[in-house]
Amino acid sequence: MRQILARHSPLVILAGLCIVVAVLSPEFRTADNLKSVAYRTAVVGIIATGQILVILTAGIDLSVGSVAALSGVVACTLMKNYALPVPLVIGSGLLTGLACGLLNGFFAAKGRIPPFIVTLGMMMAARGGALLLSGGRQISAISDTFAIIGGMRGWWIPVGITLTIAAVFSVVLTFTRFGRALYAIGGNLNAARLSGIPVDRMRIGAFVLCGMLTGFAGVMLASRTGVASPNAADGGELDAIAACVIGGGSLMGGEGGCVGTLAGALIMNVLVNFCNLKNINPAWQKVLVGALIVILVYYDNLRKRRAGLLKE
Amino acid sequence: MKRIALGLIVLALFAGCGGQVSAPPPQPSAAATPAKKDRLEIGVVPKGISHQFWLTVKAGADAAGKEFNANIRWQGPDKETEIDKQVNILEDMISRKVDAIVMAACDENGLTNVIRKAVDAKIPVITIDSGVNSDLPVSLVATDNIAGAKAAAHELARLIGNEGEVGLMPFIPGAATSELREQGFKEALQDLPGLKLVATLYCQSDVAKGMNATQDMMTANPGLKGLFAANEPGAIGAAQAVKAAGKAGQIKIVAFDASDEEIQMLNDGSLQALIVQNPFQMGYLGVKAAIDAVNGRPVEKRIDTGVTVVTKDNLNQPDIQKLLYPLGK
Repeated sequence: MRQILARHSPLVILAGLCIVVAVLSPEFRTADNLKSVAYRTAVVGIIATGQILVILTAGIDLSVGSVAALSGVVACTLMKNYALPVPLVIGSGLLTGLACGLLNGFFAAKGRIPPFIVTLGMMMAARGGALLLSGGRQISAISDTFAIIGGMRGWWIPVGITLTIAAVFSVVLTFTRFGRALYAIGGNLNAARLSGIPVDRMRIGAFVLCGMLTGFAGVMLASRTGVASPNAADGGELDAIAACVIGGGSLMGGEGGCVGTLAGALIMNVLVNFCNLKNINPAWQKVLVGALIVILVYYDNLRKRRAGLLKE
Repeated sequence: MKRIALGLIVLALFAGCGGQVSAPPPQPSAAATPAKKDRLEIGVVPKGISHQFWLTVKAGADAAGKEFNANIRWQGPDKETEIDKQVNILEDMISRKVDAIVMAACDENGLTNVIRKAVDAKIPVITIDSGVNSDLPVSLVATDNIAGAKAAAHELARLIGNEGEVGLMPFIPGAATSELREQGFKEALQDLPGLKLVATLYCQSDVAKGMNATQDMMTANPGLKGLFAANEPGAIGAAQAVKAAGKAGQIKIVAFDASDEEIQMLNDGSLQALIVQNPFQMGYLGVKAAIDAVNGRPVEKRIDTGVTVVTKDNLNQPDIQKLLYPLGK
């Protein structure tokens, strides 16, 4: 029992937090509010799902915020200038993310440059690319069909997409050779190499998938807000990384999963939502959320250690 | 072989950058010095290089540059929060010995030292849009933000029939413009007893965050009748959130600025009124004041560029169209 609880502690924390917040704020309990929190988590949830793949290999992808903005700008520019049909618009966003992820992965795995540095470069370059391509302007993304994926025609569409993505990658991580290889690489890179895992290919794969998911999330963000802004998702990488870590991921690699990560993203959004509902001063909001992140991760580690799940 | 390939990539990258960057020519200083005698060089430093607002400021500055025969050097940080980058840009301009600096301060205190450095180097500084807590700049050419926000409050009162719950969405706590608009709106509410301010949430100049905050505002206050969004990302976010809740037109939104997005939203009824500043005049009058200062002519300490309340009703009047599209449509 203790083990099961500890293994799923992000979910336990999320449930506990929701109960506390629901007691303190009657507005939180309303169906509309819960829907709103669920669908605003979609974008960061998808990005964090990509991020956890990289974090599992003991890597990190700092470029996701910028890549999301770039993908949104590319997709909406194509939609506006060439009246591309929606599936191709989404495809162009995915391709943009894929290209960025491939570059990240190639330089990190084959070029032997620390992922922190490679993706820091990509973070700046992709943001610059988004500014260049858009000329610094917001690009309007108004098209009735395009608005669907962002949830303007039903909150459950982005939520459903996010849950599906998380479920698929959960299965991939648990049951496929690729998934298990990511854990192995994060656990011990040299051991993984010696045991015959094609380490470079797997690491590139993680970055590519992270890029594609981010590209998709960028398109979804543009759809949700109705504009693709070159400044969109500013700081989004930190939200995604925080979601992974709150969700039980370890920046040392080898630990974490998709369900926990999604719970981590929800925990952060529930906190901000609560502060907004209570009209709490924004400076205090930052203090509160920052402190809670550290406390939650500490508590999570404590439980795991007690249950004997954490390697020392 | 690998090394040659890598070298080629690096070369290609630099060539690519060179093509982009040198388009607005940063001439080497040796070449610029003799040219300086007949043409003044004015550095114009905005708070950000994206957002239509700054692009319109640039158009105004360029127009003044053309009219008064001066070179305009346009350089700014990516984001309005990057105070340190703005300081670097200004220091580079001082080293380059531009004739005058026209700038919008990212922070009302953080830029004072570098402005002192410019003044010590005998470079006059004109602030536009956002001033600093200092007497060093020759002039502040800007919207009176308090008056603008008061106009917004009165327009919002008119739209909701002088009675009901209203929300306020400033953008960044601590940023001068955001604080002044918050202050102006709250001051005006004291003269409007029917309006009750129920929520103040910041959008952090991010559309998605503005959208979330608006949803939370509506959830916490189901009786909300209107809100004032103090800048463009907040306005777009608020309008999208109200639209998604199926309450477009029921919850009235008054917003600052007039980007293409906002004008479109005014047209389709997602926004009810825009408080329109005159960024073109900020760029134009800022550069003109700078040139006057260099030539020793008197410059007024405070030049107000004014605001105009634009609604769907007056949107198509020629004078409003000219204000909204100074660069042509």
